[in-house]
Amino acid sequence: MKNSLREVVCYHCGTSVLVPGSARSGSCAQCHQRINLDDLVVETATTWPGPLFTCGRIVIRPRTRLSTRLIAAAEGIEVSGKVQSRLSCWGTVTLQEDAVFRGDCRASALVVRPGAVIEGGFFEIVPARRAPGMAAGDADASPVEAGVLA
Amino acid sequence: MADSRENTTVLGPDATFKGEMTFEGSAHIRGTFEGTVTSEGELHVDGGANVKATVKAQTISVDGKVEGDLNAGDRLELLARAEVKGDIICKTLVVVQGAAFKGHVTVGPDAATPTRADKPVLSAKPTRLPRVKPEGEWMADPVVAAPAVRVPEWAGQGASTAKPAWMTGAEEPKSE
Repeated sequence: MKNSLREVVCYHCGTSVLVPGSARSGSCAQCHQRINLDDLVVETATTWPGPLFTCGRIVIRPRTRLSTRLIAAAEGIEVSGKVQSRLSCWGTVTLQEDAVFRGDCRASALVVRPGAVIEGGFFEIVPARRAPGMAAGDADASPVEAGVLA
Repeated sequence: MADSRENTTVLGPDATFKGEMTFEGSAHIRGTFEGTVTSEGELHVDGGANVKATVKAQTISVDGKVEGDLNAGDRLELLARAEVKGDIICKTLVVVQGAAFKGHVTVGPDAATPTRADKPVLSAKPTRLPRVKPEGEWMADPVVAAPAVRVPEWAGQGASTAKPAWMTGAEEPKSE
């Protein structure tokens, strides 16, 4: 049976990479760094010391309390529960009804459901193909290279 | 039947306004605005508008360019053509696909009140006044500074606080 291919964006360099559909990790053809392909689901209250990276989606379930340095996902981040972190995403960041978010956010699109609470972080929402003047080039930069790790 | 547009203020696309705008009801900005907007109603920044202002209104809808802080008491909508640079404070935030903004965001039921400008400004370092003892306290303090002087017994002999008779004018007993 032939394995279908999936196109993902490397979170190190921003290059589109074709990977097998069932692969859970791989390496970028451009920068040769290892990339996670799994979707990550966070369900427990935790303080995670390191960043969470993936080329897929990151879903933070309701009633979760998560404190971590950086959450970066290429396809999207969905936040429920209480989260304190920096979010970096090429796709859409969704703050669900019960989300309480504290931190900075950088994404192409933002969805804030009614009831979500944002406690004063710096937000930079730049659509991927934006006219010049709103730093369109920045939206294409890798979340890692863009300085979110600094 | 009253026209719903009766209380609508419109700044046309060819208009430029600098200053402070206050209104009730609703307003549409389609031109260029610079200054301050304060309202309990609805403000619409239409597509093509260019606003450099601090905006405070109950409902704000942005489809143009805004540079400045937005404070919506109830709802803030960033539509597809919105470009906002500034801080956002509102109870409900709606961001339509395509909107762009940079700034600090505070969203929630308690976010809209009070605004930063409304908060009392406290000095960074309060002035400390010197401590003043309550009235009468200092009187009760024992005197410890005065050295105890021992008066010799002979010095006090016969000493009297009573004034001599010649000072008081009384007749002195005649000595024989």
